[in-house]
Amino acid sequence: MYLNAHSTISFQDTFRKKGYSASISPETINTEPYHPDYDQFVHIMMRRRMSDAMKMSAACAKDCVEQMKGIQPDGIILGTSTGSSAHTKNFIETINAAGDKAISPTSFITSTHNTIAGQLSLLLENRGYNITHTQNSLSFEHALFDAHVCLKEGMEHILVGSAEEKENTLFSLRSKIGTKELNVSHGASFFIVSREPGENNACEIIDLLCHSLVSDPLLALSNFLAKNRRDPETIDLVLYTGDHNRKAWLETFIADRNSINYGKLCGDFMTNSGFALDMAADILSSDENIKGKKTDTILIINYLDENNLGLILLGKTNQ
Amino acid sequence: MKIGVTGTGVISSLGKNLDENIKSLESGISGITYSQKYRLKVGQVALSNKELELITGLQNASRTTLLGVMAAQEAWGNSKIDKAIRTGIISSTSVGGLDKMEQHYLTYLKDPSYPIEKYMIYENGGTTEKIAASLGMEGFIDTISTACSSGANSIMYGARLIKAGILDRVLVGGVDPISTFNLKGFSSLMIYDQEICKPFDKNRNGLNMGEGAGFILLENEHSIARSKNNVICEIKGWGNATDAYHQTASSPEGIGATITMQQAIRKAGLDPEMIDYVNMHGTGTENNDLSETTALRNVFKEDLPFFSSTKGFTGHTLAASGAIEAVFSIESIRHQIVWPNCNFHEPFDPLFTPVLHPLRTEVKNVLSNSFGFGGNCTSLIFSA
Repeated sequence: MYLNAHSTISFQDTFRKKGYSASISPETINTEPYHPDYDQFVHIMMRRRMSDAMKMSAACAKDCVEQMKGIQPDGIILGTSTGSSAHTKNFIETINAAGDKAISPTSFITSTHNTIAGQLSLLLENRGYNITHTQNSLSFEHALFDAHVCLKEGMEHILVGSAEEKENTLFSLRSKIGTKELNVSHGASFFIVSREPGENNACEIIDLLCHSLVSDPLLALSNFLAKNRRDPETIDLVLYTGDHNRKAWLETFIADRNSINYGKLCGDFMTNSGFALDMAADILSSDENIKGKKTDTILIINYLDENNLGLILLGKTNQ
Repeated sequence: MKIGVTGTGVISSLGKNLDENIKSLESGISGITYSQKYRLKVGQVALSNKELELITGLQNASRTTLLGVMAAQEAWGNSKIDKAIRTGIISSTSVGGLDKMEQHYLTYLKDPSYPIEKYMIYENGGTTEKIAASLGMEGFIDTISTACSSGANSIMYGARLIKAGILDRVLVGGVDPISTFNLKGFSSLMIYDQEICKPFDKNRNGLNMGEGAGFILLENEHSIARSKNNVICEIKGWGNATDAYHQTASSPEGIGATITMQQAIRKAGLDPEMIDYVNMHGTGTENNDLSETTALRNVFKEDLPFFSSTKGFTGHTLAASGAIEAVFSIESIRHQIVWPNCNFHEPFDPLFTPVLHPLRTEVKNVLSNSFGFGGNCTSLIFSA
């Protein structure tokens, strides 16, 4: 699976900033997303009713399509945990305020989890396969997995992404993980994955794992690496999240190699592994040395929630 | 390669298990009744959360989880976790934990000091995890949420994973309980019928909401050889496309529906005339029924197969509908009966007259449609 376009809006200055991975740090994290000028991507009249997550998704999706010279993807796949929580909350409040009187359907219409994927199909005039996966901290990995299956079936290009809204009262990450160490943020990351490497190919996604209710994460990780015939030593860089769970297996694994905590860079939200993938693509395509080490192979470990393990193995194309 | 359907499970307003549901369909009596609580006609499962908790052994679970566990366990049957069978579960829901959340949130709106964060832990993916845990599963656990086509999309994804050689066995389905949120939502769109819905009728007035869960077990030949489960039928074709017309309405030309029905028929290696029965999405709304019958004519021309909507029995069960109706489609093959379209009086076009009484006939290939908000369209084909 070849990653031929990528675009992210986050709490770091990442949108259309090639090579950003060399200049961001936990100290440069913002308290809001770096929003681009949305005028280029969505007409102001359409934007009026769009949630933040929808606007970010529209900009990133269009940016990806532009990177591939305006191709029409064969499918649009989204991973999101909170879905359309702001409009959901809004509709609950509307119901509450209306009592027995008539209710406006506006926020109901866009409250479904697949609102973003559906609106992207309208925006891009795309009639292809369209799916939304929602599986907590593995929502993005599942979306990427579905994209992989699409390409295996013969589709050429899939637009796949993650998007999350900032919503402190609903679906709060803190209440699920139960720790004060998390810095709740949000963002959107979109990619075009293809059967063949394209002109602006960033890297290759070699393999993926989505493992929920994981009883032995170290075994799952070892099996994954063994299946891909990778000695842990051949992993040049690990992008990870989940040290807040204080598990020895992760602490040991990251201590032994070049590793970066991506949660400290983009903040914490259920689908922040989308940010990690974008950053990994930026590193591999910018041909950077991380901490003085040549980086050809990257492993992303998503252990945001200690119940679930997500793994993405990436490498430079034609390794 | 053949993908066998080896288990079915369903809970709805027609009954708490497969047998009860089939008996109700055969009797032609709708499960939609007037609810004093909601002041609307709804298709409710006749078991409270407490009763479901007693049956399932779960405590403090969302109704979504409770209904899901009932149907999932029925479909799973006597199957066992087996290291040599690569297994997954894909569920779907639009409500998820919203049923509990909306209660807590209303309290929070009245009292901002209410610790709302404590209760915001129920989300869609969590309900599938609980269903998986009740069966002793870990690993590939996924949830799809595409509004009213969700259940059908879960089934399609499961079939695709088996066909791609990634999994051997997948438990797939969908769940949705009744929620004030959705009742008020569909009412606000002015598409809620105060009487029992009349799919395809000239005087149809909208939908009724229903609740329930449907699950099916899909296995490849390797898995069937090990599990020794009986094969009821095959899942032979599937298709998903986007109407790309409007967030909630379907295109009058039925573009999305036409594409998916044709995709599914092509995938199954069939011709349109080989379809014996179409279980329609048929919500009873002005828009869907017109759009869907237009699509039917696009695909089948004037030579329509038998068709009906079973939503007059169950109500529109949202994310569960694609899965519950897949179960009904499979059972149509098992029993060699075409299910009736109840509450029908007059066609809006004589060509589009659904089956009105349970029809015993040869049923080899059944097509099942589900269409959701966002213009999401999915069609599945089950074959004897």
